Amino acid sequence: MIAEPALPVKPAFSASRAEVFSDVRLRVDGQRPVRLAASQLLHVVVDDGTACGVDGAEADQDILTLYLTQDGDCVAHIVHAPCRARPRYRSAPVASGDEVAKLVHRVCTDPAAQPAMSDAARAKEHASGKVQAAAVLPRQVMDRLGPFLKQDL
Amino acid sequence: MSYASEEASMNMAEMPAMPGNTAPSAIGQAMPFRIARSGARPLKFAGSELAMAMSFTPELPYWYEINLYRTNASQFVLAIRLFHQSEEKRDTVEAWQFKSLDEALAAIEHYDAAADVEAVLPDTTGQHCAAEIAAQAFELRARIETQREHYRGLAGEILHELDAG
Repeated sequence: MIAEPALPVKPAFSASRAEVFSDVRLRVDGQRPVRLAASQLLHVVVDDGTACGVDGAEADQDILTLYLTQDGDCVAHIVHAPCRARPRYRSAPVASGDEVAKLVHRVCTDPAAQPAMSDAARAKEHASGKVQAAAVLPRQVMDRLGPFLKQDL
Repeated sequence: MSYASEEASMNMAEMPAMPGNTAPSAIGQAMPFRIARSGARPLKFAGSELAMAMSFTPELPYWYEINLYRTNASQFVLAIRLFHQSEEKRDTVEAWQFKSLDEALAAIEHYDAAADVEAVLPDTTGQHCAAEIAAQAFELRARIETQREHYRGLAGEILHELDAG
């Protein structure tokens, strides 16, 4: 199941539309929140519909949000919530669609994001198809990124 | 799971961080605390808890708990506890006192969870080829990275909850 973006994708980027900038506070693992005066460019939620979330986040869910800052930079924020593991929150400045793609790939497919589980539990996960389903999510995010991959941000 | 007192959730830029400038706690009576530390004397103080976050997840064999306190002397105490599901493993507690809130927040950011990973040396009495030793090294490195990521997630959670930044 792919949820509809909360906001429509804006077809053109422009730092001149000052009226759309607002204060944004992004949760990031391991550090203080990142504060931006920014406008949301893109918000993609990919969810497989399962409900095994940890700590308030829906599990098997990836969220990518792109922001245009008041300074004209582009910042990506990614929430990666694999099944039965703690969600990850990452943010980084990005200059191109390729950089966004690399960031999504790095955060959403890092083996360290998978929960520590016994071999038996891991085999059970594989048998149930959950592992394969989780691997699909980053690709779905990438599909939604399509228009951004061909251009500089 | 985490919580922060209303006082702690206020804009940190407005929150006095230096001793002598701190307003009295607004969240009830100050309490005496005695935090037993691993390898150090207990840390005793009177104050109130500003925020707590814990990373308990049933599927994981361990979890962290971070507590932030403000003392009556307008200093800040940070406690980082590591709990294990297994009763065979010993839980650990580390706690420090800081003069300012910023120092305490920086300590949350800079805590290295790699030191909490138990490194078990391979059985040197048996025959191990180089590939097996290398595999054990990779496995240990992966466990270190996993533990760091686990802690970093909790640190980000409490810092976000505190609206620090």
